[in-house]
Formats: sequence, structure tokens, C-alpha cells
Amino acid sequence: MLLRELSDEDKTFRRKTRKWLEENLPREKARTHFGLHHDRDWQRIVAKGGYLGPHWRREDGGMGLSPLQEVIMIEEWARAGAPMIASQEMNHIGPIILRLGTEEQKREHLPKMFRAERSWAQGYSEPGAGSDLSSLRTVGVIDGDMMVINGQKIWNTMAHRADWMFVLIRTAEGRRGLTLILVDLASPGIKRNSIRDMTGDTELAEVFFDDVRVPLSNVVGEINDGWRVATAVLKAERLRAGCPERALSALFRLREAVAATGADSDPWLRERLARAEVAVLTLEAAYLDALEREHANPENDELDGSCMKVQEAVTTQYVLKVLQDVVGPNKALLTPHGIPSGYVDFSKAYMASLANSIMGGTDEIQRTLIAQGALDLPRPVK
Amino acid sequence: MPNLNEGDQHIVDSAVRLLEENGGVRHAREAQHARSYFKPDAWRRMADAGWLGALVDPDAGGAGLSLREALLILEECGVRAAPEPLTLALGSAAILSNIGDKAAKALLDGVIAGESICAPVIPGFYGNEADRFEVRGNAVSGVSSAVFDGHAANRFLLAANVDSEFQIWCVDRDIAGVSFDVRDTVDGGTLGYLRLNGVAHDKITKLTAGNRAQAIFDRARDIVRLGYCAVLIGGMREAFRITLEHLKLRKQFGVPIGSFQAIQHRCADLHIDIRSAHALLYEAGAAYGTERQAYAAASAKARISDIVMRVMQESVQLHGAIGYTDEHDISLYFRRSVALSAAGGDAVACFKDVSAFSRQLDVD
Repeated sequence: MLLRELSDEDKTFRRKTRKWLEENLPREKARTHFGLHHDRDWQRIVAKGGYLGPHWRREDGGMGLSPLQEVIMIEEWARAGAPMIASQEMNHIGPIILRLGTEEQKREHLPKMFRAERSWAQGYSEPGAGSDLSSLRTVGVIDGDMMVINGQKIWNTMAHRADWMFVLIRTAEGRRGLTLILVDLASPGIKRNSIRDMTGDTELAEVFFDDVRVPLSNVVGEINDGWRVATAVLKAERLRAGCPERALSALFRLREAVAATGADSDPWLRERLARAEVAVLTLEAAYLDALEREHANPENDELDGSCMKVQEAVTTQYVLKVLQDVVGPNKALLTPHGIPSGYVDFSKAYMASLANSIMGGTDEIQRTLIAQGALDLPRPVK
Repeated sequence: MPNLNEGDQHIVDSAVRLLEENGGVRHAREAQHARSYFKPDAWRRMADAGWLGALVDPDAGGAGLSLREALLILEECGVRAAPEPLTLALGSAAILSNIGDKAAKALLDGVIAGESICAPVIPGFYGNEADRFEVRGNAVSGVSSAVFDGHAANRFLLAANVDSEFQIWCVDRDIAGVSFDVRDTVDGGTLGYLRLNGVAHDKITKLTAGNRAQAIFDRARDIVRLGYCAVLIGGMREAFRITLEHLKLRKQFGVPIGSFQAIQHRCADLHIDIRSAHALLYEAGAAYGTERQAYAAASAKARISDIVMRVMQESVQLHGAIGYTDEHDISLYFRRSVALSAAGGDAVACFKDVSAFSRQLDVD
């Protein structure tokens, strides 16, 4: 899908990745799911294959890929219909621990992440603190060498099945009163419920903390410095949240549906197909461009991450809408129908894509950040 | 915005210098209120700087720039809404240098020196379809596809479809039976059609024919498409910069209007579109010379034409009444974008090409 001609080295990387997926992706896991789907068995297979942490440096245990190779890997993943690699470990808490964690925290957690032995969930959002994250009210009180946590988190992807959670708690008033702490979800006083989403999946959860005691040594960075800690790697994190994998998967699905339905013989649909294809191309080009800029200067303040996150959501939703148009009445179906390979779950994928513009900071929050950060427009007068 | 290396920056800086010497935006404004505007000394400066032969090998008398470098120059032309038909010169130089024989070389020298202005006539729809001309005995008749800003040209390179053979012709404007009818476009440029009315066959130079001719012309078509994209993007960037400035200064209800969320969110979306248009252009440019070239150029022209018109319309709206005036530069960029989004194939034509070309190659 990338337009440029690849070097021999990059072609080899593509071939190797494709071959590895052919040999290691179990048939029953291919093309079964759209978007984030946390499959621990798959995560372990990926870990064994050495495909965790594409953008991590080699000396830190990652793959040390170039920006271009990162995109190639995403393309191959989408082409094979492989489940997405869970992002909490390598894109969220992993980089935070690597950068700001203690030596003990690094020793304890990083190797297990690379072996996919311990899965993580993010504990930021609360019923009363979504976009306005800094107003969160889950409280931590220090008691000797322990932190005692009380409160509730919600919309935590896979928190009901994860082993650990990185949790933002309030330890003092104000934005500077937050602390980031690592919590073993098997601790006494934790209650977890899954939440059924509109597609029928149960990947979201809510987590209640009732006098949960966590060692103070699990605090990452300083107490009351949690906002800075949580946002320290936000740029890289957001950027990768905007990776074109879902849009590419959607496009591959669209192509398959077109091949099965002959929709490309209809000029009404043909233009829409071309538009969908070019939208994905554009997303990929923008993503690669942003990765290259990050590669050249990780501290750049272009807010590429926010831009990519919005563009990814918009593009994926658009492609899936075109897919709905291509399948006619079948779009109303939840389960596969009428497509020989039998995997295109029409409305489910489309509905799942609605989460892309909400999770990890809504698109509205991203737009405000872009306007005030990248474009330097004045803050609203209160 | 793109990651410019030192060499890129040097090219951009010298382009800015030259274009400012040519009068910058004032020059563009003059052009938009003229008819069939052409300023020979502005063209001369471009020739002297090597721009007209930018993509031609130094061995053949060109500047030997990469396509990327040429696109950077064209972007700066767009920033100042330069009226000169530089994109056309790059297209015709590409055709002539790729033909490479003695006749073509002589024509190429004239183009690079700026002595002869040669416009390639790029068929607008399904770019691989040549214009049809009828040859009866020694008399050639027919009408070409549209040519943008070709009013100063003294010769034309035509893709002629004669008895199902693809031929590239060079037609001088001043030979008997040739007319180039131009109409004014919104930006002070022109849209013209070359008419051959019983032109003597032996007065037309047939440069080359067959598959090779087709490939040569296709390459020029793609250069022209990418070139227009770069000019469009430059204009869009500048219009958006002006718009942001306005939003920070203009006060209503006692505060800058740029502080309103309704406006901030729209600007964020425009910013996303602009940076992705930019990335798409240079990614498509990187496919030049590969088997994806035609697909890439069509994709870029299709998408970028759409994005630019959206950004331009929003830029007018975000200015309010002042943006609707002739006096304000926003309207100047708007009008230029209307014309150039149509040049080289508008979005609809190019999406058609995307659809056609994607079936010809394994997009992987």
C-alpha cells in the first residue's frame, strides 16, 4: 500500500514478516476480529516470534525498527488479518516504566512484558472524569509504606482479565495532586465487572477499589507527579494509537467484499471504492511522515499524535461505511453472510470503529489540543 | 510540514528569493486582474535559475533536480500564487528529454532556455487515452483536450490517437489552420483548446509513436499532476496561515474569534488535512519512475484537489465578509485553487484513474 519502492532490506523484512505470519498465525485467529482484541495466546506467540515492541530500541529489548519498517509490519499484520498486538504494555506503561521507573520496577515488569507473561490495563477514566481527566477522584492515602486506594475506574479495556493495572489516583488537590501507581489486580479489595459494548463484546470493564493496599514502591516517579509521569510518553503513545492498522484491515475487508459482490462493476460504487482506497493511502503517508519526524526529533511539538489519532478514526470509520454500502442489505447483519471466506462481519466492524474516536482521549479533546498546541490559537476566555 | 534537509532548505530559500524578485503576491494580483497575463522577464528569471529544465539531466542541459526538489520549488510558487506555467514547462521538458532524439533535443534546448514555451496537452479523463485527430490525405483536423495557462505557448505537444496508434506531435501555433482558443479562467489564467483545421500533415512534427510514446506521455502526465498538487498545496498552506493570523487578531464579543471552540475544531481538521495532503504528495512523488507512478499521481491529484478546495472554502468562511472581497488575498488563493484543482484532471477524473489503474497493478 505504501507507494514508494522499497529497498532490498525492507523488502526482505516484509517477506520475512509475511512468512512468519503465514506459519504462526493460527487459522482460527485470522480475520476473526476487528480492532483491539486481546488474545493472550496470540500475544505469547508474537512474543516468541520477537515481534513485540517494534519501535523500542534493541538495547531495551525491542525490535528497533525504522519508521518505514514499522509501517510495513502494520501492513502485513492487516493483510494477514492477525489480531492487533495489545498496546497497553509496549505503547503505554512499558515506555513509562522504561523512562521513569525504578530499577526494581524495570526488572520486575519489563521482561515479563516481552514474554507476554503479564498483561496490563490502564486505569485512568472514571465515571466523573473522562475528557476532564485531571478531575479524577479515586483517592490514595499513604499509610506507612503502603498506599491505600479507594474509588472507581471505568472504560478500562480488558481490565477484568488483565493481571496488573497502572492507575492514576488523587493524592492531593489540583492537577499536581495525581500519582501513578502499579496495582496487582489480584490484590484484596478489588472488584471487576465487564461491560458489554454495542457490538456485543465484553472488552471494557469497570474496577472498584475498596481499601486496596499497594506498596509505595509501586509508585512510578514521584508522588503528586502523576500527571507528568502519565503524559511523559503521551506523544509516542498517541502517535501509535493513530497507526493505520485498523484502516488497512478495513480496506482489506472492503476489497474482499468487492471481489465477492462484484461491486466494482457499479460506477456508483467505484468512485467510493477509489475514495476509500486513497483515504487509507493518505493516512499511511501521514503516519509514516509523522514517525519519521518523531525519529528525527522525539521532542518535536507538532502534535502529530493528536492529528494521527483523529485521522485514523475518521478514515477507518469512512472505509467501513463504504464497506456497508458495498454489501447492500447485508450490512444489517451482525454475523458473516454471503462472502465466501465468511469473515466479514459487516455492522460489527463498523460499530467497533466508533470506539476509535472516543478511547484514549476523544477526538474533540485532540482537536482542542491541536488548535491550541500546534496552531497556537488562543485559549478560550473563561 | 515536510522534514527538510539542508539541501531542501537551500532550494526553498533560493526559490523564495527568485519569486520575491518576480514580485511575490503583488505579481499574482496583477495577473489575476489581467487577461492572458504573461510577464517575459519573470519567465526569464525562471529559465536562468534552471527551473524550466529542472528535471532534465545535466548532460541534456537541465538542472538535474530530483522530482522532490522540483516539487519544493512548485510549492513555493503556490505560496505566492505565481501565474507562470512552470508545471507545463516541466511536463514538456520531460517529454522531449525522454524522446531524446535530435529533433526533440533541439526543441528541448528552446524550452530550457525559455525561448520557446511549449505546452503539453494532457488529456483530462482516463489519462491514457489520447486525443483523436482525423488525418485525411495531408489534412489534419480535430480538437485537443483542455490546456490550462497555455496562452503564452508558441508550441504544443499533443498526444494524438491516429488509427489507434498513439503518437506524440509537436504543433507550432503559427502554422496555417492551427488556432488556440482561450477563455479566461477565474484566476486570471486561461483554459484553451487547440484546434487543428485542415493543418498540413507535413507541417506537424511527429516526434515518436507507439508504446514508448505512450509511456513517455504518461510520465509527463504524472509530473504535471504532481506539479499541480505541489502548487495547490503551497497556496493552501499560505491561505491557512493567513486565516490563522486573522483568527488570532480579529476580535468579536471582546475576544479573538480564534478562541472559540467551534472555530478551533474546524481549524484542527483543516490542519490534519493539510499535513496529510503534504505527506501524500511526497509519498506519491517517491513512486515516480516505479510501476505505481500513475496510480500514485492520480491518487494524489484526486485527494489533494478535494482537500485544497475544502480548506480554501473554509478559509473564506473563517474570514467572514472580508474573505469574500476581491481585495483580500484569500480570494486570490481561492480562485487560483479553483483553476488548478481542475488542471491535469480534477478530483472526479483522477478518482476514475485511481479506479482504472488500481486494477492494472497488484496494490500490495
